[in-house]
Amino acid sequence: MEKLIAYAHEILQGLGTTLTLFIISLMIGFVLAATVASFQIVFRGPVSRSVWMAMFAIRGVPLLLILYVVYYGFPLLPVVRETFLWSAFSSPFWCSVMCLVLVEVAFTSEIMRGAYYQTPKEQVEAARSLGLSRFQTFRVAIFPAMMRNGFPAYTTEVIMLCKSTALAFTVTVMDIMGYANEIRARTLDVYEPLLIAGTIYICLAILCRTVLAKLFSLIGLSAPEQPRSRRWWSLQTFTRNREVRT
Amino acid sequence: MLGYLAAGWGWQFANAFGISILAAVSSFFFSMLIGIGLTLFSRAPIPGSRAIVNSYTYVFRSLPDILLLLLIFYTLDGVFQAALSAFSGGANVRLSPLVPAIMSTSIVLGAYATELFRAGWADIPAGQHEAGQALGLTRLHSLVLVILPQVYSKIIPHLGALWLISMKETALLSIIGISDIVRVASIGARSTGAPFVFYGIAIIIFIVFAAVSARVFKHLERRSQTTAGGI
Amino acid sequence: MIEHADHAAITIYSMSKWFGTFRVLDGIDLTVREGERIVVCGPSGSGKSTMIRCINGLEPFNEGRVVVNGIDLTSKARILNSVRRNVGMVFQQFNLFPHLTVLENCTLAPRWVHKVSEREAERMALHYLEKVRIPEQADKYPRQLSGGQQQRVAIARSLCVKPRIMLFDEPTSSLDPEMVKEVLDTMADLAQDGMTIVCVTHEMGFARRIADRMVFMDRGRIVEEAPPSDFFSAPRHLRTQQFLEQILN
Repeated sequence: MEKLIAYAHEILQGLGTTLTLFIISLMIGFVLAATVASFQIVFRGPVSRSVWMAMFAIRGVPLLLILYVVYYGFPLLPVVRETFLWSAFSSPFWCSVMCLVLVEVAFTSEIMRGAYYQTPKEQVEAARSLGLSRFQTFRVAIFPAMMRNGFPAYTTEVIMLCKSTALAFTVTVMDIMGYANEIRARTLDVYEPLLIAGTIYICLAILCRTVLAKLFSLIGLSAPEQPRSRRWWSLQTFTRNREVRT
Repeated sequence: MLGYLAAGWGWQFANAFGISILAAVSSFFFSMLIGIGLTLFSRAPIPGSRAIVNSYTYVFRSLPDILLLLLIFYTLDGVFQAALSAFSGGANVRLSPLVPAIMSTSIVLGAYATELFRAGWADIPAGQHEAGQALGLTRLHSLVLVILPQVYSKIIPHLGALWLISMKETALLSIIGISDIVRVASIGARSTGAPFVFYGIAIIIFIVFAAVSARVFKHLERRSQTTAGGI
Repeated sequence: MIEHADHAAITIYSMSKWFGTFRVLDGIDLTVREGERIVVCGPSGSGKSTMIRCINGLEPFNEGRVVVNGIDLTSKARILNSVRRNVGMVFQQFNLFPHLTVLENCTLAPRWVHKVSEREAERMALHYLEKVRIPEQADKYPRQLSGGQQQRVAIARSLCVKPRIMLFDEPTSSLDPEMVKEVLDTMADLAQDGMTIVCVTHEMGFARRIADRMVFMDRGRIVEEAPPSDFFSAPRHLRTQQFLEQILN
């Protein structure tokens, strides 16, 4: 028991790193994703198409590989080594942030794009016919619908990001996973450190879900009223009229 | 690039690609089994079955994949050896590291697959089950002939996403020392001093794979939609 | 007690069903002879759909007995399946299988339940599709058909298992008005062939045309049973009178 407490203590030292890694990537990722998504929505054409292809490509490559390229590959380039860039690329923490942001943007921009195109046309037409400007239409009709459509997928994406931060230990970042793995290697105890770390990650996921649900209701939209089975992968597009029995 | 590929690295990459595909296909397959099995289990009239399935999907959608992989990798061999010596008195058989890798990926993807199948299942009108019953189909026939084909056509786009994840997940194999694409690329990068060639090849393999998969799933989706429409 | 005669297709003895304290069915007694055509009507929520769904075991009941073709209904899957092989059911929402063509919808049960060969099943399916007058739609998918056509396919699908009894659960309620007639005509053809029929419907003209006996239900009970001539001209109970007034005007 004492051993467990000692381990937990040691592993919790990494909590700050995990949280900063997670929150910084989440924030930057969200802003950039919104930019990329609106770019793709506003400008259609070959440029937009190639942005989409780049995002598709990033979504297809494992995060671990991207981490290796950025952390082990880039420092070999003179451009990186001999300029101000070096201060960022020499830090495993900032390398991890860059990679997480990259992946987060690729996934989140696609969620936003999908949510935008799921907006019912009638609502947009109704708003336009009332004489609202394009921006007002967006604010009144499109944005709330996007929030509602994108919420389940975005929640999943946030949890995915939280899980992905654990890969940072492979480039020597000492986060929760880093400390847990270090204890494992040092003491040859496997269960205790890893299960403690696992518990912390699960708590983080619970926290994320709670905070996101709160945030969602704060923005003034009632929480998504979806049946349990449908809250995660949204299958609205496939929903047909349910049977009515008298 | 072609020079390196000719100098033996091409074969290495091909081999690594084979291993990754093997791991991806088997974990995708097992995750489908888990998804269908647990969906049936959660709908069965067994007290607590829903709660069990809910906690399984919650936990394994929250746990980092790498953590589960390390946990299984470092403990499974001990368990396996103990079981082996209990049954056969200590034969010298070693477990391939692919086994824990496929296990952990299947468990994680199984959690996503379960949620997916449950969502698709819930979207099937009760009348479909009843029509099968009224025609006298057994449960198994109703499952295979009526329900699963419809669940499939509802979730096929998401299955494509899951398949891509299972391929990307194979990158983790490099951490436990399996010569997958990522490991071959890092070894090549370190030993030849041409990191961008080797990482580049690995990245291209993954992107081409993703593009081909997307095509295939788009095709499957279109095919299933020409048949299954509304009621 | 056992007054169950050889010629009875369905016998229901004081069947009750409840959810908590709410009684959906309250002591139902009904005998349907072979070849008899029964039309069940009543206000919504009176339990008429639930009653016919109990006859082929789609819903369990809490009390009483149901005997179908001489087989006592229990919750055992094997017994239910052997009962269902002789009972066809047509639903309000058609419930065709959307991923199968019309022909495949019709051959599914014969092939997998009755182990008929593929060729024989298809021959039979085409025969019944001709009977419901849409053999030319055999290779289409359900969503390509109109509601009335879908319901006729559903009838053909049920006939393909060669049932001795047909149950209809409001077969025309979800159809557009102009399609009601084609479905009712198909059902009338069946009635003429001597099929045992239990039909829940609000189509009173149809009831008058084909029914041997009308059954009126209210609040989970059978309130009145009478031949259509008496039922429509001289209903005995106040509730029946009120219901008929509402529905005929």
